[in-house]
Amino acid sequence: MGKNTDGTITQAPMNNGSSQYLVLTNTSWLGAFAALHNHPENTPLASGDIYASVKLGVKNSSFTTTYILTNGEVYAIVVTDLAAAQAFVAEYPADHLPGYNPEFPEFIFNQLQVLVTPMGSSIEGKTAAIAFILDKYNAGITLFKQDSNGEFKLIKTLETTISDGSKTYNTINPCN
Amino acid sequence: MKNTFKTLAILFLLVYSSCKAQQMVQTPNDAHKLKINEQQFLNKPLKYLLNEIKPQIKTAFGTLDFPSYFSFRFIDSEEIKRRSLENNSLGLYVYVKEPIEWDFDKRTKGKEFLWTKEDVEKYGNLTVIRIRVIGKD
Repeated sequence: MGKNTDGTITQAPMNNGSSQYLVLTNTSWLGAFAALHNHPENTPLASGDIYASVKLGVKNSSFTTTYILTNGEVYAIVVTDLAAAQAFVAEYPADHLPGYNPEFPEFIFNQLQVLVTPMGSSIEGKTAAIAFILDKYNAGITLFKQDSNGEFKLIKTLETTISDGSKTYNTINPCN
Repeated sequence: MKNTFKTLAILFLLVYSSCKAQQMVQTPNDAHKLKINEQQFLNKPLKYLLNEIKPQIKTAFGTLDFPSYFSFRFIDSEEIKRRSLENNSLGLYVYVKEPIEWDFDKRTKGKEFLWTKEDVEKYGNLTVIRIRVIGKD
């Protein structure tokens, strides 16, 4: 998606994916600011989407947003602070098995897996866990979910330590 | 003399067979041996790897991704919640070639994270393509 000089939003021709996870993004489209892709198998927003979003921003700092359609919902990954996002991916580079989606490195990956227990392994739970980790490590990346009115609401997870020392996680439901 | 040889031979066979039958993972931290011996499990059914694990898997779930993977832990979900996020517990992650159909909402309420015999039946023939072991218990 791009923006003309008069502010009208334009749409580049769609690219089809060449593999299960690889879709080339048209980065030379005039006024490009966002890309949109779907997850045909209804998989959650994943590490690969995060790393790809930062790459787009590095190529063109106006390219801030990646929309993801999955399981009938629309999510947005917004690079709100490109310098912080670059620092995050430099500190935690992707762990990449050739031919497959890039993964978060061990330190981040293990925490995300731990968070599945309190947050659930649904798309919502896993997205909330990623949002929490991005926030915790000041990644300069914010996640949003579109509500029934078409508005994108911030996905925010709050951590609370209770009396026995364990932690609970409360995600502010963007659709309420 | 003859009897001594016989006794030694029997003892040797007993020790050899018990060593051979011993599973690779005797304690949770032994799970790192699965990574060290990863080649032994690649392109083999998941059940072959699971057979090498003696401690009970107390928390498990599957993730549909490219590639899909299972997350296994040797502590239960309540214990996971009590521990710190950064140094929580050992995580064994087994990636498989095929997509995993794992519907959290369709699992028995309150037992969503339990790894069951039915799970072994359902997923045991999926093909292992990668092993990751992170942390310690």
